[in-house]
Amino acid sequence: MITINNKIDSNNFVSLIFSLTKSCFFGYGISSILFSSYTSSIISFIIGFIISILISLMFLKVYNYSNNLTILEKLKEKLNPFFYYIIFIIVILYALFMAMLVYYIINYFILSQYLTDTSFFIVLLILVISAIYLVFQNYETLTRFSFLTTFITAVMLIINIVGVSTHFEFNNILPIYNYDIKGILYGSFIFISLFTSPLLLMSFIKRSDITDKENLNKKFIISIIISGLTLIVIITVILGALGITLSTIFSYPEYIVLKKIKFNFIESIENISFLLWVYYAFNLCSCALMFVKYSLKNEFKIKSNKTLNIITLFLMLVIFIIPNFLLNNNPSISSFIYKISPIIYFSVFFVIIFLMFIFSLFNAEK
Amino acid sequence: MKKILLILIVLLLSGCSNYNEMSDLGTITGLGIDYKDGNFYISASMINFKDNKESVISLKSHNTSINTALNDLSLISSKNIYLEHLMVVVISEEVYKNHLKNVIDFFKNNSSTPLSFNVIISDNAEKIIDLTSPLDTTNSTYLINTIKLNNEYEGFASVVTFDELLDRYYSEGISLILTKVKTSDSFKSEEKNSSLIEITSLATLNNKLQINYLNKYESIGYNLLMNKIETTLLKIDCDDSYYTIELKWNKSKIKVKDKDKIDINITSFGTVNEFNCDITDDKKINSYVLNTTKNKINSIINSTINKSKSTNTDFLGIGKYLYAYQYKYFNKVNDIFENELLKDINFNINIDLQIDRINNVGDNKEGSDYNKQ
Repeated sequence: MITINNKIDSNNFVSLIFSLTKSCFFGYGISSILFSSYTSSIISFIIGFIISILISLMFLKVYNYSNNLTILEKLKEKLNPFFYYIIFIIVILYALFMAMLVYYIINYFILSQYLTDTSFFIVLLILVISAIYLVFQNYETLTRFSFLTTFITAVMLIINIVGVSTHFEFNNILPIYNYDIKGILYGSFIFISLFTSPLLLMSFIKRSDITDKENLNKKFIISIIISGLTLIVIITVILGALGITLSTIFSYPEYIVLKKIKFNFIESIENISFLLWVYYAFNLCSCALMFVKYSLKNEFKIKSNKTLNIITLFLMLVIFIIPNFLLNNNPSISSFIYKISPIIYFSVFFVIIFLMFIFSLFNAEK
Repeated sequence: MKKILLILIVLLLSGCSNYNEMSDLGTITGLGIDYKDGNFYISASMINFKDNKESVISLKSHNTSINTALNDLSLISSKNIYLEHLMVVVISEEVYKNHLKNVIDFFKNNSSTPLSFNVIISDNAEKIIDLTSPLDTTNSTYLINTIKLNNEYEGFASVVTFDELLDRYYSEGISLILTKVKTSDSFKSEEKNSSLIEITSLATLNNKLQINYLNKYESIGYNLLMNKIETTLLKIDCDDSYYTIELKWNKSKIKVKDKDKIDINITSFGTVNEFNCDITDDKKINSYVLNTTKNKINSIINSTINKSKSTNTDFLGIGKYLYAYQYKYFNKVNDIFENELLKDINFNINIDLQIDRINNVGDNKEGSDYNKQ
């Protein structure tokens, strides 16, 4: 039975930030930024990170402004029904699209890199069933799971960075500025889009449902800063250990770099240490589906748990299975979708946050 | 519903859906790739687990592509070719010169091969893979160990892993270099194919596809400059005699001062093992050893640099340093750098050498200053 009186701790809430802000970087984000900015990717990350902090603060203001409503509910109050329903549909599709793409990328990676002989249904089922199980719970379970994985992934991340840093060569990250301003700015845009857009998926949790709200703002900002800095460290370590050539010829430099880790007799550590990206992706997908589930529930006042679960299950199966048929056989479509995804993510996220931000300013002046 | 989901997860996590028996896998540890008459000739060292005893069998096939030739190996052996434990790939000079792209493409796109296997060249790759070492069970282990030990004690061979080769192949401003081996002429055995290998030289390849070979000292110089050397032993002549010095903890730093000026700083620590020169005074010995060793290192480094310049082969990666520190300039001259500009680069070599105590030297009964302290 889902209760709308779920109360969660601010720590659990902000733990989602660590997964959501990083999950879109695997398989697409890091490689495309490296490809557009080359050795200046570090600059792209830094510029993107600074702007992302500002956008995240905007999101925080909007989130605080909504207080005992979700951002969508608050929008409903402010907009006329026609515009609201258009935005509602777009946001639901946006969440499903994001979950679909992140799951597809992870699934495709697993199939192409280490379970090459396995049927994609087997891989998919493991991920999907776990996601279904989690999404059928309430959001307190989701945030608790996220809180737990934050520690697991943090340990993995530290081991990975320490392991790879022994192969770090300073010359590999040079020239830090390669005079390609267009490439650097495009890289920054991808960073901003992939870093900030998933934050919208957290907005189905009302601020009033957080028990210690007074600490929320501080913890939110700290989490954003830590997460952004972690990404800067990750890109620096990848570039420093692999060099720009190897970083750009492989589709998954973030996985290839892990192959460098060797602790005496222990080999092939990359197959375990890579799991942190699976955790991130899993958290994002679960959060996106939870977002859809609660948004539908609130919008259409669905009281029956069974109905809600059936709708969610149907949506999940659609977004998990269809892309495997659609994208696997069409490399041109998949590369097109990869390319436009940051634009889609950012435009939807920014329009909503900007609208709400204007409303919040207007309200404050009143 | 939730219980059903949990049971499903547990069933799926058992990992039995597509298991492979060990005996069905053809685990390959070494591959030889030759090219003749439009075909790739593959020789493979496959681990044989028959009767629970580890031994190696050598298999051969040839086809127009590496992939199909490997598939043929699978058909011959009736085992799935498994490259996860690949340790060494030996390529022939012909492959090195004209078909390296095929080799690189195959291994780069094959997700099941590790990136850390070693790549070496030989006149005849098949012969190297076929040899059975009288000292090791698997010839791949023997090949790797020989190169590693040579690098560790003599500093002559160079361990080149596939990811390093890949980096050099695709990067601008750096040329290819691999260790060349051959079967030893000095070892005789009645067993068929039983032989030992010898490291002949380091073989470089420039953008005109010319292979050039570095001699022993040029190879040591290369390894010193690339920080690929653990220890090396130098024999230095003095009048009618000689002394030997072991250099360890070598470190080099290449700094770009200007577009055509490169500083090379080398730090090293030497231990004199034999001293047969006609000098008895401690202080004189120390300064003599210090100066002559520095000169020797200097000449080694210079000979390596000169080799790079004379053969128009940037195996030291000077272009890559310019790419990092003089990006705008290098982008302009990238196309002509190796052939036209490399020879005009001035190198300034600074050597910081420290000498350990000199034991049992000549008639010196009291030992060196170091000992007295």
